[in-house]
Amino acid sequence: MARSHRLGRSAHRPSFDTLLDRLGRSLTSLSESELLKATHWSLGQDARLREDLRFRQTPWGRWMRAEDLLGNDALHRELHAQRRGSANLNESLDLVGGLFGRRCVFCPGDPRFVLQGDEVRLAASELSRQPVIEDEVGELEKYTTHLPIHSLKAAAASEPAGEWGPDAQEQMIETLGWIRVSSRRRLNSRMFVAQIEGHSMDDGRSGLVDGGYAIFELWPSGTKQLLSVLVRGSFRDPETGSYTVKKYVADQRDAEGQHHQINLVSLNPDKERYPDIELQVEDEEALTIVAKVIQPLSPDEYARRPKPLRRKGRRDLNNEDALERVHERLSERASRFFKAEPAATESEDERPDTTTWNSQVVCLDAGSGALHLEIGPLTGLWKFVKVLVARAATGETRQTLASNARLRPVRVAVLPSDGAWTWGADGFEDDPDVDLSPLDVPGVAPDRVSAFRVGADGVGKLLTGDHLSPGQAYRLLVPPDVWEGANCSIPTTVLGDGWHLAELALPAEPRAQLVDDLEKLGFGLGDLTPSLSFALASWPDEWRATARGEGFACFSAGEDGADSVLIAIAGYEAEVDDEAQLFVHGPGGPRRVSLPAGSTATVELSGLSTGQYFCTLLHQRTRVQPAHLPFEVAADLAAPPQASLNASVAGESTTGAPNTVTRACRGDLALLAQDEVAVEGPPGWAARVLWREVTDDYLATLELDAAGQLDVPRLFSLTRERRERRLLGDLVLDCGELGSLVLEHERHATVQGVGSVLGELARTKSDFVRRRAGAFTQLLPMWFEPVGQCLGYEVETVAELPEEPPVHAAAARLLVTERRADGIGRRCKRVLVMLEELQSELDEGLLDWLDGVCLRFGVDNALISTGLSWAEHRRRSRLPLKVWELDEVLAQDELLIAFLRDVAEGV
Amino acid sequence: MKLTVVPQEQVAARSAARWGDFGQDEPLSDLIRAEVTARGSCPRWTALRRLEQALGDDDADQRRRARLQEICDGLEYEGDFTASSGGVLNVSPVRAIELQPGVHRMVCSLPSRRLRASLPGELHIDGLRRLHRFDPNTEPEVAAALQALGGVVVSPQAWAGLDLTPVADRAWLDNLDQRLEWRPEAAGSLERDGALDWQALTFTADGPRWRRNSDEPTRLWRARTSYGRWIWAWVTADGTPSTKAFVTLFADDANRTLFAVAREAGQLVSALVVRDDAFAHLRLREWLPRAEYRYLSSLASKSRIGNQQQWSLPLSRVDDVFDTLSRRLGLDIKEEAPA
Repeated sequence: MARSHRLGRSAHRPSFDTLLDRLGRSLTSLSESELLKATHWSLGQDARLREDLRFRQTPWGRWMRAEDLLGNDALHRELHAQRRGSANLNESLDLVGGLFGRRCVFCPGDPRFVLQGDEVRLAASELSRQPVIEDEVGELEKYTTHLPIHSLKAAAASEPAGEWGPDAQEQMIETLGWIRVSSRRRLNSRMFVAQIEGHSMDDGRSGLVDGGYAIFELWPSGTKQLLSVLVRGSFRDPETGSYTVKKYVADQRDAEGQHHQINLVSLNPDKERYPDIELQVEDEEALTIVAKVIQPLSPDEYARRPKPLRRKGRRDLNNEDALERVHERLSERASRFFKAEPAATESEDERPDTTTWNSQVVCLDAGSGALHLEIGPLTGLWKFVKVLVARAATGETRQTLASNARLRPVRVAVLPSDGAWTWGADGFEDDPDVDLSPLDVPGVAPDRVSAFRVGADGVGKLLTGDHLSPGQAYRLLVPPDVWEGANCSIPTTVLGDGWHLAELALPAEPRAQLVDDLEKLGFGLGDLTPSLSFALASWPDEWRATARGEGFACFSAGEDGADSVLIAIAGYEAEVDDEAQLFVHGPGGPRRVSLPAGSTATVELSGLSTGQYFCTLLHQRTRVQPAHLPFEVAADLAAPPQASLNASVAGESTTGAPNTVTRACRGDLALLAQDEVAVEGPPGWAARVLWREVTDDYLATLELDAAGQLDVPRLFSLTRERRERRLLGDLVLDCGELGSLVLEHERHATVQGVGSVLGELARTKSDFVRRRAGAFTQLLPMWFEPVGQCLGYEVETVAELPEEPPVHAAAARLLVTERRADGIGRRCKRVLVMLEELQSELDEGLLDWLDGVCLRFGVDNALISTGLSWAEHRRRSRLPLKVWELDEVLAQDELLIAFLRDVAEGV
Repeated sequence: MKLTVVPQEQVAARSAARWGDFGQDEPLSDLIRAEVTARGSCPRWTALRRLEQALGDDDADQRRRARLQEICDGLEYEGDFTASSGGVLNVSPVRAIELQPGVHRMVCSLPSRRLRASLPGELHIDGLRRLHRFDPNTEPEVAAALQALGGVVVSPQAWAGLDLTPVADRAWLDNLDQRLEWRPEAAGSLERDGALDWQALTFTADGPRWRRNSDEPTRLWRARTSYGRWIWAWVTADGTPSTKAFVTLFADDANRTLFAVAREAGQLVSALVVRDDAFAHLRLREWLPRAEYRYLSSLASKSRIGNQQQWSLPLSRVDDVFDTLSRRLGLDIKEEAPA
């Protein structure tokens, strides 16, 4: 009473008594206007039904007696449950009222219904496109309001009506049932309804669409010209076989009344897929026109089954129609997941189709380097691009081989950065035609936490929302400022520059502390998300990636492989059995299994054949997110890496073998370009890089990358100095038990090359040599060693001379390195004797001393030089010397050649 | 295809049927092999963490997790994985080490189930070692099976690579100095993600030890990264890698350096030998460098006693083996009377 007083309602208003009687006689609710206009409003009374407690408003704004029951929901459920589209209003309300023991009324304002006379129908939006097929109908309804429904195949196979005798159509043709139709035409006993099969008559106007319904009339009389007919015959329709619905087009009959040509025309303009059927006159007898199309039926023209009843927040997993739709959707999703992108051809000039390229930021675990840029496969990437470079806004760069990115997704670890990462091709940064901007990705947000959801393959994909689902694993990338302000207790790994990485596996029911911490980081808890993974008993044999880089597990098929896979399901939180179901789409078609009540279960998929499978967990409660797990059963697992080394140098391929040293090439390694060298072996394999002359110089250990490729740019960088300066040496890649690869380096100096270096030395240092004449200790490293190297020698100083020279002089050994049968060796080829002055005729005492020096070092001749003047002395020779002045030699090519012939090695 | 809900009490039994008892080393080592083979290449930390999660979270599994780490170390060292820098484990090729006619020691990352299905004969698993025994008359079939797997047969000598590996001596240290001179890494350059807790190599009466605060001059240092991986550095002198230029060393180079430094310092690393009727049991605490480890593992079987490795080898090979280890590593082998 207090409540009604507060609302301003009085219990009774006497003037409304008649209205109450009126509503008591009505099966339906009435509008306020219908009730009050004549009796109150037209008399100027400001009356409202809300003033009287005996009335109440329906959810759709109309009014009914408070004591009555609103029957709309019950009627709605009943029609859906019975799969009927309509019902008699009076009978239905009586039924519902009887159940509840109260008078029941119907509100016509409910948009779910249409009220026609005493029949209430479900609105079109509530109905499916499927007809209500009744097994039996009354005799009065047959061919009056209802027609039999046949399959086209059954109708096409029927005997002509003349042979039926007294039998009715439905007794001669195996019928599917009866269907109520609304046609303006008068129905007759030769009519039937059939579902159209195929697209050949679909021209957008005819209404004869695949899956649609149409009324046919059996065995039509009169001309069939230009009519759409159901025919059977000795032809073959691509969609239906030996019967078809086509437009009948015959040529002019001849004098004998015969056609010469009959065409069964497809209305669909795509004649390649839906060709016309052309028949010659002799075929006419083999052609039977079974029926003609009277009219296509739109969904409004036949009684339709209600759509399955859906409760808000609930997913129907038991209804056949709903399951069919679920299977369809999952099948599409599975085929989208596994669908391979078409391989494009590579071209030097053509611009690749960058729309298919994949580029994104992903987050791996902290041990794998956390944040990564993922690109590829870059189908059609220009062949001339060898190295791709990612550049952060901070200037930090990362490289990856284009050959890998062309074929598969590749990842490069990067430090968190709020600026965009841009990609370029090494060496083509300024070439506007080599545009890799489609690969650019924005940086991570500096002012909020970025969340990455971790898939079954362990890769974290960036999320856009701010809700995390219990039951899922996440990686949270926290910017420095956010971390400092958050004061949260989630354990993290520091990544550098103050960024933190938190790795979380959210339990189904997270602790309050964790929820609080997540809130501090800007995340709320979303709906529960179940997870699917492989049980320990079914550990994947291989992980593969789709063309888009999404990972999926692969199991081996065959005798040694498992023919069953165990899926572990967690966090599905079913309160009753069957509330959650696992759907699997595979080569054998869709399958499903109901999961028991609880939150964890293990399902075995047995009898698996080779092929791709897509598992999906669906819960009847839509707030429980679906979970997916794709995998493949394959007969061809990746073989283990080959236990061998393959080298390709300047187009020549060699394969190393265990316990052996294999020569990959011989030549001037300084002339090799990086892209002329490739070395392949097992991934991660360590190759010790040695430079071998007389002894081994250990340079470094290089590891082959994950694709088994040697980092050739690094190899070139390590050996550049030796390749360019040394005349002889072996570049050795020692790969342990897999053997060694040797790139033999031999360089022959050219006259031009030697002349050029000598000229440069003379230009820069000849004044110094003149000034310091006789200062051999200074001249040796500054002048004689580089000149000696230029002439093909290593200059080795001699600590003690055999005897005191008669003039101011010094001596050094000139060593040459040679390749011999047993390896590389070095020997003293000549002696260098340094004098203050050099003339063609030397003092006898000096010559004797020179002979003694040659003898002491076991050589036959000596080079004598002041630095700028050079001569060759042969042991025991007393002939005048040929003295070469360096400035003259460098001025004339002929002189230079003659000079080098006398004094140089290996030119 | 048939879908069946497996009762939870049967799930563990199915795992055991597939792998065996996870309390033993064999199933755990095979699980690690399977994971690395499936991934091709993956960080060690990630692989182990994934397996830890799959194995469970209860207290009993804590011990199992520690064991997983240790087994992974062993498999890396044995060559079942190719470990590369950054703590990445890579799938490794099949190598059959010919111990004697009809007996191959199999070294590869392929899990035993796949290996067994691919090879004629029998596969015996003893801890981390897998021995393939077959009738020597079926050698062509074995060779064909190995070839189909892309594998090779290698001699124990080639597998160990003693001939190609430098001895742990002064020359080895000189070579490190040369590397340090040519390509020094900047002081502190390993500590971009935070300071590292460096430990110095020192020598005590009990042998070489790693100490945080050592006054002894040392040039070999090690530190554990935040991902649990050890890194080693050879430093110029009188400083740590945080303050002086250094070169980083691979684990194997670091092990060799330890023996070389000990030899140069006159503090030889010692090992204890106990002999019985058929075997000599060599016990030592330090990990041997890879070549010497492989050489020994091809002749001896390994077990673990406390924190020591015990290598049991036939008495007939003792002299050769001890001579090789002493010559190459300066190992001081002391005899102990059997208890």
